[in-house]
Amino acid sequence: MQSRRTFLEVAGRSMAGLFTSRFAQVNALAQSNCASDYKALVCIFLFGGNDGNNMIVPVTTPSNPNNSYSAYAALRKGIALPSNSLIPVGTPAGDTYGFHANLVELASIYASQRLAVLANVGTLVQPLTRAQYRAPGAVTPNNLFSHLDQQQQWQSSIARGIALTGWGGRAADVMQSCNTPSAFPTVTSVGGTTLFTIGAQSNPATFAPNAPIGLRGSGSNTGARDAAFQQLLTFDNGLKLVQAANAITAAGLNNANQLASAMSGAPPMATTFPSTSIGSQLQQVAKIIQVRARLNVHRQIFFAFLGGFDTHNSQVHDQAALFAQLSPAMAAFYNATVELGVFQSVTTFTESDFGRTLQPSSGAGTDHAWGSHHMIMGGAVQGGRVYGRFPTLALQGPDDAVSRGSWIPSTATDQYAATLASWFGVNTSSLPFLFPNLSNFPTANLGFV
Amino acid sequence: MPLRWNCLLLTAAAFLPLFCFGQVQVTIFPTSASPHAGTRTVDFTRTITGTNLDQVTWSLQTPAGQQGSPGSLDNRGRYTPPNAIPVPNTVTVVATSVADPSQKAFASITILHPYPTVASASPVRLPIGAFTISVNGAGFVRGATVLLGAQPFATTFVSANRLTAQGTTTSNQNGSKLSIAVMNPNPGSFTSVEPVRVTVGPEGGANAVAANVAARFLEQAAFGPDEDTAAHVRNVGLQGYLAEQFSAPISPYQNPDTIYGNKQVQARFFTNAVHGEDQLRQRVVFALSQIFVVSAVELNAPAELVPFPEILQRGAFGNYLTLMTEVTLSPSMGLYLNMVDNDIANAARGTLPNENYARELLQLFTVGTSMLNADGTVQRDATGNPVPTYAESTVIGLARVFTGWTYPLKPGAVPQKHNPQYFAGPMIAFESNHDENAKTVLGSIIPPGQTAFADLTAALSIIFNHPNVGPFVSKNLIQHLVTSNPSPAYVGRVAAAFNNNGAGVRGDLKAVVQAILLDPEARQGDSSASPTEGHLREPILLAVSALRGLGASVNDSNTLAPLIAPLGQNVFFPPSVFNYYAPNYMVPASLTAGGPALLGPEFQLHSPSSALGRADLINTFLYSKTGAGYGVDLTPFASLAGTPQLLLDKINSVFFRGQMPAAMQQHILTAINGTPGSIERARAALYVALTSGYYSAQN
Repeated sequence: MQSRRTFLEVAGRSMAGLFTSRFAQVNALAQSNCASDYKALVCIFLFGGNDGNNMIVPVTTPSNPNNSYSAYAALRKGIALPSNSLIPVGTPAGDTYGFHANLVELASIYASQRLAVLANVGTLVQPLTRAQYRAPGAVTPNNLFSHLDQQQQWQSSIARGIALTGWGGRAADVMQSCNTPSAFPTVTSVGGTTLFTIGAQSNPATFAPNAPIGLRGSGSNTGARDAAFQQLLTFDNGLKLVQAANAITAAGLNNANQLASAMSGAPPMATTFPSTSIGSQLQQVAKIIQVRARLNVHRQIFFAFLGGFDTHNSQVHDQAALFAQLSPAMAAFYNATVELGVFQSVTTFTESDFGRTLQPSSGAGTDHAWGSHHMIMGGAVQGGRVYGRFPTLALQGPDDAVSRGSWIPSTATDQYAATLASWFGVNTSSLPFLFPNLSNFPTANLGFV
Repeated sequence: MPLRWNCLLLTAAAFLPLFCFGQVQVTIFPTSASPHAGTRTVDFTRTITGTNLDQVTWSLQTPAGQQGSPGSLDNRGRYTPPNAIPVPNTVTVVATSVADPSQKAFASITILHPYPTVASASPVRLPIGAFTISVNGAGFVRGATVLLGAQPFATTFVSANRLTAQGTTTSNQNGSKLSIAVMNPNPGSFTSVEPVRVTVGPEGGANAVAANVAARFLEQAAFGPDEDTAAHVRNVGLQGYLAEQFSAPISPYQNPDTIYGNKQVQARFFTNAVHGEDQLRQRVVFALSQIFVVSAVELNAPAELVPFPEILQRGAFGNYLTLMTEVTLSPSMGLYLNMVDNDIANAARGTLPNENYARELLQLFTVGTSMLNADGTVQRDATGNPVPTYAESTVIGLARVFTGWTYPLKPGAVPQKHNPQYFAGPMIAFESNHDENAKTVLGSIIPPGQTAFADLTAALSIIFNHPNVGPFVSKNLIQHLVTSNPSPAYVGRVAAAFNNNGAGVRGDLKAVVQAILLDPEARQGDSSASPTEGHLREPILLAVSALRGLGASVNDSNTLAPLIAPLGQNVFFPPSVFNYYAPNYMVPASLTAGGPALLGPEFQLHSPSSALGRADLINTFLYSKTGAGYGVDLTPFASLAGTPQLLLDKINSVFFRGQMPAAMQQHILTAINGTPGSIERARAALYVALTSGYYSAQN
């Protein structure tokens, strides 16, 4: 005999199947490479504009003879990192760079070739030289040097025009069929809702680290209350913002129920994480990856963040404190992926508003600039290398947009993100949907993963 | 009938009559009375002893020369007062024995002025300035005074049915409703009840408003309605409320020397927001604090933080240029965005002036990144690209303008290039650390050789007069107070008020706030909601609105800030100068599918998990012990729970302006009926109501 409960479950499943097949048709063109394997992208956004000039410093770079530690120190002056504090790392080309001292864990992962650096990447509409930038009518990203605009351009990979979606969300749009029939969202943010996470069709799950999952306060007297709460989530009186608020609450409830159920009884991980904000966020990501099979997902995109990089003042002090949070947290996360046996399936990367002026400002800080260096970490990464082209450290030099050492990016965020998306399984035909300006650049795959 | 012995004596012995007469006594009750003229009768009774002739004659005895009717007395001792007092105003009631007319009893009556009643007034609408008003009714006497809004006005007696009064009204009273009463003088001074009202100000000003209109107005002009304030707004009208609020005393912050940490400043924020009588100022300051942003993330102590909200409180209804100037010279902002101790270029150190304050002053506080039309829409070039407001050269020039400023002088300190940290009063200049070369700001040249203050004043004037400021600030304030998606026409009307307050003044925030709140688009929802109007209540607004409606009491030991912080809004601790959320954040595209893309700044905080966090917060308010700092007494709700419809009606009227959709009412009734016990019913009903999307998104 079929119980009512079983009947409902079966009915629900076949409903889900209906939705799925129709959805699969919609996305037929966007169909991508997702066998039964698992892959995850983890974006760590460094809010405020990380000063890449003090993240990785050229020491001796035969492949770029204009750069040297002394060139760097002569311009950075009071905020130059002492050469003996830097952690030297090599490249296959025979260059030596120095990692910031507080990135010691990440330097070690670089040395084991599981971490790569992408030099001078930033927002662009098309390739740009200093001469082109300075000429009238230059096609540049909107509102360079503005936090908000540059964050949105990094997250959307749309450097000119209005972006309603982020590239993580659009990647989810084309990849979520890989997760069928799971109803768990492809994107999960442990750092709130951001443009990166929002797709044309898909919206992220969000979970705050260190917080109980799901609704609190239910008890013996709240049955009727909780039922009415649920009923009202479908109440539609035609007001758009009410509908949106209800949809988000309903999603929150569904997501939480699925995750809480999946996590129930999961064994604790051996890897310990630092009890920092970024440490807790990445621990939460690891816990979700741990139950990927119970969530029945094959492709996941995560968003985490660390804020405070707007170092207009006390750059050396403030960035050191932030790196001391970032590096051990990222390393712990890498170790967790090893523990979970997914280190080759999880690729972690950094984004940030922009780089900062090479020339310091009053107050021993640096101001808003443009291109910067970023890190990609994971077992699939072709690490131990510096990708892209390192800028020439010179004021009003060939890479300086204006006069203070604001690097015109030599690699676009679109190329950076497209390389990650291709590894993730987005096929070539879908790349223009994710990255409308990608074809303006010479290569769509930088080869670091 | 039994014969009394003294009467037997009277009839039996002729020598005994005197003795017998001496036995007749008349008494009267009451012995005095003070009826108002024109009122109902007074009944006197008498008692006779010493005779079997139980009869008296009743008469009135009036003072010599009395003018006017003394009233009348019938043959059974019923006194009817006159319609107006005689002069003098006393009369004596006399009861005289028929058996022995020498035996009398007396009662004194003092006749008081009549009770005045007001039936109507003419005109019903008073001009601003001098007025004469006729008040019609009854019982008016010479010496009566007309009271307007409880204030006496010069009054002329016309008749018992009409008075005239003269006086002046002020523009502050514009739109308000004044009650009319008449006070008769002594003797028996009395003021009329059930007043008639007149409106101050010309036709087209606000009328006294409907309950739903008053409540909705307080969602925009205050931290939400509570029952008393909503009733008050009904009486005084929208303009009347604004006029009162513009002059309401500021709910202050603490003297920083008397408190130990910013947690106490956070607590005071909630005390002020929940209970402050200056609700409009508190609400506008909350909005301004999300434009002119500092954060206690950097300002670690009350001495550093408190002066900043004080600037915003002082300046909320002042001029925007004054506010820009005070903010620019604030040591708190100076520390937060690095304008304090901003040094002139230093070749040895290889440094240039710090660009931080210069850039964010332009981008976030005044003109924004894109050129705007007068209605706030973005200007675009031939390729559709936004036209930038300024180039990097302006940021660099402005950074140089803002050199040379350091902390105000600590008592006893000697001025130097970098004064020790001190936050009382504006920053001061150290001229030799100021860049005196010419600068270009927004296309205007600031000449060389000027002092730090002259440069700063010139630069702020250039920025303030940029055409973007009006639409930029107006749209931002509209989004905080009324709606996320104002029409360009709405923005344009408010920006016009910013550009000129009607008296030729630019930047008058009082005019801007009035224009925002009284605009037809803000008021349109009073009668019918448009599908895209309103805005999501940000977490702090949600919490305070709920607490006000619940009648909560909050004091300075409250810990509301950490309770609300997990929702993404830790008061005074925004994560950056970019505030808790961005004004251009869009509601996720898939959630507005099939309609226009919608701005929803507060939705940036409304992730799926924080949406559940909202429900948890409401749960805490309703179900948890609240501690010393705030209390929620649900008795007024629970006492109605025996009749579910009454409980629902109260929730509807307090939190939903009496306009809760029927389907929602049904869900709440079901919840009430399915819950046992009064307090649990009240909790359940309030939980469902306050966690609903219909409450979360204010429309």
